[in-house]
Amino acid sequence: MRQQSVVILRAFVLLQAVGLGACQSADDQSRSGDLCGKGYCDELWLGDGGCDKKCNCAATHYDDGDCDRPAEDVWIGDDVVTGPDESTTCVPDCSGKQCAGDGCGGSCGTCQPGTKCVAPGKCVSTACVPDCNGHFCGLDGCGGSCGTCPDGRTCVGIQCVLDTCQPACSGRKCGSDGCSGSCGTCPAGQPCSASGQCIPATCAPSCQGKACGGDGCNGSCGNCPSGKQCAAGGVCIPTACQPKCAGKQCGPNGCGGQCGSCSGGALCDASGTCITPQYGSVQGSLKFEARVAHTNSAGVIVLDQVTELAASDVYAVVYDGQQQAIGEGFVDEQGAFDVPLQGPIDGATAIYFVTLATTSDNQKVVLAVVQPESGGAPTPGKSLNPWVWNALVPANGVVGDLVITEAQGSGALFLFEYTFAAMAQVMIDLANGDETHLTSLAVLWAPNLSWSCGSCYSRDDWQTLQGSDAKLDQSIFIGGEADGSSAWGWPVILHEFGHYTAKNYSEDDSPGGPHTYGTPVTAPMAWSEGWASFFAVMTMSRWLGEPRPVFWDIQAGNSFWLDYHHGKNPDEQPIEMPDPQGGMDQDLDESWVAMALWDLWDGADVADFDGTDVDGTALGTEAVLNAFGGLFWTSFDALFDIPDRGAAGVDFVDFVDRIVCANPNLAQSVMATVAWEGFPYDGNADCN
Amino acid sequence: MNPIVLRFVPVALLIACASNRPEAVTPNAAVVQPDPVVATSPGAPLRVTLDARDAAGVVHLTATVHIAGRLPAGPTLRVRLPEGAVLVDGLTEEILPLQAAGTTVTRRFGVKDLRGSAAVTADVVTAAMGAHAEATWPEQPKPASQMPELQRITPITIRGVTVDKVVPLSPRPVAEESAK
Repeated sequence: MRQQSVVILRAFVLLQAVGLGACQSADDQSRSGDLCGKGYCDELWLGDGGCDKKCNCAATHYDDGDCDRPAEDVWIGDDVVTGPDESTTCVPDCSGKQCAGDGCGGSCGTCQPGTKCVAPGKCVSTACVPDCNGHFCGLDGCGGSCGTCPDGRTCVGIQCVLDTCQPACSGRKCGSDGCSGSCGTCPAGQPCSASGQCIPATCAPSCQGKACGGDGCNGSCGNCPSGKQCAAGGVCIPTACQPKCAGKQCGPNGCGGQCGSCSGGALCDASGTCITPQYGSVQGSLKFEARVAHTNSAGVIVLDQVTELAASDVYAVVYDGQQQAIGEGFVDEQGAFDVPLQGPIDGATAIYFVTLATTSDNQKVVLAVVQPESGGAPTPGKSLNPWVWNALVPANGVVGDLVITEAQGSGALFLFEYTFAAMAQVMIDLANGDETHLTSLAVLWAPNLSWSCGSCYSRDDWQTLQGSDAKLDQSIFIGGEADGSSAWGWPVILHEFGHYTAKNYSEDDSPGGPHTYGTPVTAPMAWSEGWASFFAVMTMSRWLGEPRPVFWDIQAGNSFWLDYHHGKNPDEQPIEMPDPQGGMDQDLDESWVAMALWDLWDGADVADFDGTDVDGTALGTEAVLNAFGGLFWTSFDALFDIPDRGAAGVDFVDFVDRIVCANPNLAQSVMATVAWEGFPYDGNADCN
Repeated sequence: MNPIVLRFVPVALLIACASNRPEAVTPNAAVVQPDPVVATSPGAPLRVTLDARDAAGVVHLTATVHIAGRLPAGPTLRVRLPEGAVLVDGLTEEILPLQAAGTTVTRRFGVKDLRGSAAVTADVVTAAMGAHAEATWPEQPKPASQMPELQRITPITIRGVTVDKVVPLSPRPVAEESAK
């Protein structure tokens, strides 16, 4: 398989272009300024009546008016305020206030009859409508309360944060203190680095898409966890990853690096050999059309925008008019190709691009996006064609700029890019960096072709490729209806890929079958589906380097999206919460599982959604995947008379047990978060 | 033998036999796998269907709203008519008192002078979730997407796979590129 770091970095560029709701962090938006009130964010987050603290651009326009103010004071009653301590140097502050205290014992004014003073000093009608949308606690904008925090948590602004949170500002001069506070602010024009250092304005740190390594400004993008090392491109790879350069002069080494580079005009071919092209090369670029999801002004997910993306990591081979292969290579991460030739170009020479990925020795096909000839029920054993595009090569070898349009099946290439990047991620995370440990996968899609399952993953439906003995072990079926997400629905693609990870690198005891959000199902099925959806949003968030907890889909013109970060909004409750008084084997809403996993995971590799650790736990990817992989062993529990906790089969309880046992220092935090999510976890994991 | 020893001997054997994860997941006789499973993607939580009956110049529409998954609020049902059509019975817009999964409600509308398609939409949008469903009568043709035109070629072998059909590409004309 080709260079994984390239794949992931490439995926960042690709996915940033097509991800839904590309809401940048508040800091990013404040810097860019002009994003506020424009683009995706305002449609998804701003002006929605909920003080969700996103896209804040100025002190007077918090959340586009959804918030009254930043949370710095504590107000009591309708018109009395307790502000900062009075002192001899107290400076009255009535900025933006019509009424209430000035912070120094004075008054900023009184309200007219028929109105009353509410935090932070506004006169509102006595008929004021309380607004607790998005609030977990704090004020309702009309002098009332949106609720109080449970024991162990304190209300900060609108959210409940852990009391035990210890500010961590050692060595940091700016940025978050990890407890919703700040370690300080930098002078104007100096941004704050990820390591909490003020950076001279002349240097712009770049950590997008990087988990480790330098930020280009003498700062760091982070360190890899134990057992992993920082590879080129800022990707953490297993320390055990052994470069595979035997017999190779150039090209990727399988560990994020290169086996060498060619010189003197030589080009690297697909097998890692430097070739001095005796007959020149075939040059050009390859792009493809993709549909971009966004929410329209009514908050509805639509796919009405088409953009062009550069292809990457696509295998290219050149055949002459006698059907002899005379050159092979790959499209690079910028979409360019320069394929060295070992034979002359004749009048029928053509270059072919194919949706196949093999191991680096070219011996095993591990991924193929293929063309099914008919839809209906998912079935095994088809002898299928991969998607192949070709273009004639002129005598000078310069093909020019090729674009695969939607009408030419660009959706297949979109699917290939996503599943290839996901498989590269799996190889690093779950397959010990060894491509031979990958379970091969067929992705079946064609325009306008429907499956009885909609879109689905099948662990038992293997496929074959035309003229080949190679068998693709498992299948993902993606519906191609024009009034659905079709190939463009990355959450569904990655959801089905999440099932693939559970089957092959963990344990999955779900019976499968249809399911719908907001409907409790058996605990093993809820775990399986919840994991798959969590995998989708986690993977996308890791690729983008920013939180993206939104799952969406369009099915036969009906659409939905769900934001796991806001899933606990008390006045919405789009997710069916567990019964805290119920048993650990109770049926669960799969979206509750996804939300709980998100809350347990976020805040480590990828920042908390709004910079506030509302859930109190930040396990990060390594701890989550270790526990996920460890679930495999639960299938042997019965052999050793180990009782199956929770429901029969692998479920959320088994996952939490694994987390608690593997991370005793985090056990208290994890159990507090699980309790905060409303689940009656008993804390009695058998760690022996 | 001591039951505790019995408990851990097989573990040691398993560890010895499974030094890495992917090999460990190779099907094992001791592992009972469920029957063949097809795992689907989550179904949409909100659906609308529309039936109609034409009587004496008035089209009687019946909209059926089905809540398949829990919603954060009742959906707003709206009727959208083509120019010239008049709603003579029913509400143009209504917030339905439905949130629980598995519930269904019907609403009836009367429309005069309907020339074109009437549409009924149902929407819920909050900070945490959005759902949209719609139906039209007469049903609008679904957007079409076609399989690309495949060109048969003399078979070649690419990475061990026989390829005899391709989608032909043409380079973008230079003028078109510069105009972009």
